[in-house]
Amino acid sequence: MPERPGLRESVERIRSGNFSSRELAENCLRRIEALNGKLNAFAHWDADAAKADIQDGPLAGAPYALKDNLCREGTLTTCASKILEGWISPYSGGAAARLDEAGARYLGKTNMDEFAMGSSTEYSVYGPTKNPWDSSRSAGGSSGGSAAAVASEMVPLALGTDTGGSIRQPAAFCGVVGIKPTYGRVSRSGLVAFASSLDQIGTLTRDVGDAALALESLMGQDPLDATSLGEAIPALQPELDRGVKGLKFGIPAEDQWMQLDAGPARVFQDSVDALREAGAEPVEIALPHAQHSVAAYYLIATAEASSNLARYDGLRFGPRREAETLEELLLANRSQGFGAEVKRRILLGTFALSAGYVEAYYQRAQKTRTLIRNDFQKAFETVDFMVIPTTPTAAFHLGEKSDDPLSMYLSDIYTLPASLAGLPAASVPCGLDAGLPLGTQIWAKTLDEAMLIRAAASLERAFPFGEIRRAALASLVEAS
Amino acid sequence: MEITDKLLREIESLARLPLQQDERESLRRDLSRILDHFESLAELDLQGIEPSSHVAQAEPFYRDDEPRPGIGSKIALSGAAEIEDGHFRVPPIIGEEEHA
Amino acid sequence: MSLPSGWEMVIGLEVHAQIHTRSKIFCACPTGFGGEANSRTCPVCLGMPGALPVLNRRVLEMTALLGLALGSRVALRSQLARKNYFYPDLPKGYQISQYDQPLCEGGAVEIPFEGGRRKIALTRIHIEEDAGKNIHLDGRSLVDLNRCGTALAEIVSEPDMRSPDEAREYLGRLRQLLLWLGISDGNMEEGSLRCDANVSVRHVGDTELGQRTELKNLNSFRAVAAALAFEAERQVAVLESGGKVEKVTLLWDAHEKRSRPLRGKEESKDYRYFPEPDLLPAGLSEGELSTLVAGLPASPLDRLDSLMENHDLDFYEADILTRERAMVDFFELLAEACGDSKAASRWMLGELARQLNDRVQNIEDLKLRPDSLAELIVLERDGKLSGLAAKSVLEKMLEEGGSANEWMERLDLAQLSDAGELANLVKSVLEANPKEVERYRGGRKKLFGFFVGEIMSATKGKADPKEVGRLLREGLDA
Repeated sequence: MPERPGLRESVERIRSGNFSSRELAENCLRRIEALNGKLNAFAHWDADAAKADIQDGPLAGAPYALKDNLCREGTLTTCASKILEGWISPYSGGAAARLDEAGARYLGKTNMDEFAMGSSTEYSVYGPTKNPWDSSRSAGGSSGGSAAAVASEMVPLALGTDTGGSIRQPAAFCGVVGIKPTYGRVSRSGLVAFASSLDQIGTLTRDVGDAALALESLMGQDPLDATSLGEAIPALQPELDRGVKGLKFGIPAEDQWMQLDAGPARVFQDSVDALREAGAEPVEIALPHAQHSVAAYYLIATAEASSNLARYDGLRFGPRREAETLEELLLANRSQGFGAEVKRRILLGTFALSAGYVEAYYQRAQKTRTLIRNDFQKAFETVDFMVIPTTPTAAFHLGEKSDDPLSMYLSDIYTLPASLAGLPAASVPCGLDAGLPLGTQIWAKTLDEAMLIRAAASLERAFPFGEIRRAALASLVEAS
Repeated sequence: MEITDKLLREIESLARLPLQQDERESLRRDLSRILDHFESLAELDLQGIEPSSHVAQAEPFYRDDEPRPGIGSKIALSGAAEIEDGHFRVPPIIGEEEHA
Repeated sequence: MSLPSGWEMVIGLEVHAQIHTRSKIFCACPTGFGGEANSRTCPVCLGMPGALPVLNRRVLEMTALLGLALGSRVALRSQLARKNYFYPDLPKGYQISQYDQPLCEGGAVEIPFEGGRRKIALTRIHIEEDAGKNIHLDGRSLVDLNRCGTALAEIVSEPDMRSPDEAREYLGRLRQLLLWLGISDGNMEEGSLRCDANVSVRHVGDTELGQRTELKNLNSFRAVAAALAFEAERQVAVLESGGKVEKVTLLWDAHEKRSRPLRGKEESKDYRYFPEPDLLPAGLSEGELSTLVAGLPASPLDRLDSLMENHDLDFYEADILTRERAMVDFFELLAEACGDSKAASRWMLGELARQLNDRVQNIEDLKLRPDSLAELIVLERDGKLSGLAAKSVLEKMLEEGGSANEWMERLDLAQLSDAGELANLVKSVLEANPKEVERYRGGRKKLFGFFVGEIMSATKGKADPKEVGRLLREGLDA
């Protein structure tokens, strides 16, 4: 069976001469070619990727994939949208540039919801990504392609973007580790904006250690992103083995927004018990304004999106429709270029900013965001980190929610509070419900990725999920 | 909040995003339902609360005024469907400059 | 202006000044005028997906400096905001500007008024990015984004002006200050200074403002005055015939000398401003602002007053001499060096201004130093150089530098003013022309010029004409 080790193992074995970087890349490409017809995890890839010479660096030779909303010089970047069909980015964003500098090998771009707007990777011009655990189910979204690609071992590292949970939710659905660092830790330069004050790049990997390694290369200030942070980057790998003994962790107080079915409730309780057994002390924490996260998030995110997506007019990039006048062309390009969910959000956001409504919607949402941030500030006076389920349920069926946008929005409730507050957050696979993976989230204080990794690694030790995933996905492995 | 057909058309016009008639009614209902749910914000006492336009608690940094060459007009124009004489070409603009 | 009596105008101006920077406001693309279309562009100013703005520090510094000079409150933290609208020369579909938290608020532009000064209050000064340019051709338009992202300061006045002349004066004084501080080149022809106006009329004595209209495209001082007068008269005519002034935006047509309503769809403008999430609140520190304050030069009007007081110049002279900072600096050094303010002013406003104009040169680019010109002025005053010769020397000094004495000698232009030598010369000319002397004494006074000419030709023009005149009169009238 061709070997497809995880990120750390790949780097170590390539460095020690035990494994050739090209052979690894070829194995990954063969895997993509074999499985992508079934999973649709990749939007497009570079069949010649194994030919490139790789320089040294902390990630030397390890293959990686980018979500299709991340720019890398000379690569197709479409955000899974018709309106960006054929657009080749002439520049590399901060994240791709850092991975390239670290010696990692670019393979291709992963599928996503159009412009990262969605929680199921169904709203894509490339068609839906299938969950490797059950191809009738969603891989989650919007970074569903990245999560499915990592779960099915097409690639050991895929970058995703998380605006309201778009890394963590698909990670939970696909049984992999998804981490969104503090807002501002990873440059947003080259990340095609959905909601600028919330968008953050992060990792999807098989385990926490791989994420720690990748994040050490990815994080850091970028002179091309004025919201990127200058604070020193903590060493993350030493945190992997520190354990959580003596730490306090918060669990959300029983509340009406925290209602779980029996299966997910049991898995979450297992996570809490495991941390307690590892020596950490649970403390019930009230986040009184978290229940308003969906409203605040969807008003802010769509308002920003309505402005961010104004540039797609078909004049400077993307395909163009026929029209007599400029106005007609603009309307034709936009109405035919955007999909239904993107249109819904642009219109919602335009409304939220429009005269007569901006105070009641956009501005109220931004003030509510302040209340949610204050809740967290208070919580972290007491605890070192918090845990919460990543999703209310395991992966839903494709088509189950795509016609009911409100229900799709409401299912994001557990990931949104950390997004609104810009906190570092992780989803770690922590159990199965009816044979499908579930994730537990960890939230840490702003800039405290070290604590995030430390807690995530402890949780992972209690649930060695890699074995479960390999066993469950054995049929996929055989298929290649 | 009920989004009326008239209001939706105004929003479409602002967003330069006209809907087909068959899309409009279902989207109008979706938006109305979504906004109904969001009415919960109206219950909050937000008196004296500052908005959080940014979550990054950082000192802003600025660029020094040092010019560097751009990417060149060839690359600038490379994605455009229509170009003419080094320019982006668009259909005739009806109306006048409306910059403020 | 000819508004019927009983009416007055109320005018506010919005001035956009390109800030003199080497790179654009949010990216490193070079600024400039002209050149190959779309050549000064990058992913940021092209509005490419994923590209982010980073603010140019100099834009903050220059705009804060302007605010400080105008007495504005300069915010330590201002907020960039997005102004959303669609236009082909605005690639992002929004302009990054400022809305409810501009960099500068308040302050005033002072204009000379009835022997004193009058303050035109400012609402605000904010920073924003310029758009590109559309070129309208037959059946299509072309878009050039070179200008897109050039830094602008928008200076918004209160409705504080009452006549087109006052508006013109305000714009002139503002432009003067922009140049004075090196903030902008103020070139209206190239579009680096642009002006829009809000104008309304009301009965004298009314305190409420009338319905205003917006005038755009006022791209010269003449256009500002003409368009305002035209629009005010139009509004009065509408009101006097019982009509109502509509809130419209009008474009000034400088060729037709008339304004017409902006064509195109009349839709209510809703720019949906919101704080720019890609840029944190921007401003300078108190320390940086203090440094700017400490470096602020005296204002043009203060220098003007000082010229009138300390150098006994009239307003007209002092005004011209303070148009540019380099000019008044030059003048003060010159006046001190030659000890004669009037002569210094006469030279600067006369021969030097003419020479600069002919050479299309600025005073700061000159090889000529104030003390060299002072030397020349003294040589002329002492009669060592004739007026004509002094002009030749000036020309040489402008072209090649050097001192006045040096050029006077090199060109052999020293004036013959030795009284003894000239007296001998006069004597010999009179002796050589006895008939003319007789006719002169018989009443043909016009012959005086003949004698002067004889002496000048004998001395190749170097004789001091004043001295020659005196000696001739002595000899002839004796």
